[in-house]
Amino acid sequence: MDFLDKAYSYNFEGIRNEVYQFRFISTGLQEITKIVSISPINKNLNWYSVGFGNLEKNENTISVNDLAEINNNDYDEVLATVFMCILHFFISNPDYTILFFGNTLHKHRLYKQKISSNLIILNQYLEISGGITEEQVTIIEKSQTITRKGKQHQRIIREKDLTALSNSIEIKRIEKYNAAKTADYQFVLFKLKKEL
Amino acid sequence: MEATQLRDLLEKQIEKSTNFWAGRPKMTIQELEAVEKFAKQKSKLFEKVFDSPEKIDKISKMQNSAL
Repeated sequence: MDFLDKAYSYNFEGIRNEVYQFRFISTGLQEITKIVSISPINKNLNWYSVGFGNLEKNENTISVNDLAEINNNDYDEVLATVFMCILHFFISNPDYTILFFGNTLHKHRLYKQKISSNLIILNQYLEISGGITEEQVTIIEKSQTITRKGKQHQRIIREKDLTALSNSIEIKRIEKYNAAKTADYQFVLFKLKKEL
Repeated sequence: MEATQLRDLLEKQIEKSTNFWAGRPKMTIQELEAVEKFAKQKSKLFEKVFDSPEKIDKISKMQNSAL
């Protein structure tokens, strides 16, 4: 099966204050409602950022959690859905750019690995570039409790200290995505191919 | 060729999604607001990248040369 054919059925929820919102249900080991958001970073260059995470309801609060480390055994399906949402977005915004990055070391590596292994399929529709920043992103280790097969386990997640980026960040280089050099990329850019 | 493939891919997905989501509850205002808050926080992280016209120009050139 083609990578993109694995996508879950997503629902385009609309645009709210310039944020494109999509929803889907991950049906791996358990059912998890997930959100994909696409929102502007810079309007001069038409750069948008894609985010995705679990829609969580705790008593009176609702939030999107993109730090959950639940392995729902469906990474391919989830990422394929995110790419379908990106393609959906490009249909009405063909000249825009999407910035993509993972906020933990594990997720960032995993996403790049999935992009690399599906590069031929994605390159049919997308121009893909890798970006390198001047600043090295600091990694913070955090303890997290996860539940697997009904049992609670402690694990350490290596999260990126993204607060540092809010103070200062400069892009050093953007290059055509090279699967052999992904360790260098702090972010990935997607653009719809010109001929499409 | 790719344009047709992309259109077919999206049409197939939209049809599948329309059937899947028919009759399911819509997102509440609170849920939509939570997504908006999350998205804006995410976008803010890279805001400083573009904090001067010189940076924007440099990035635009770097991006174009990578395509």
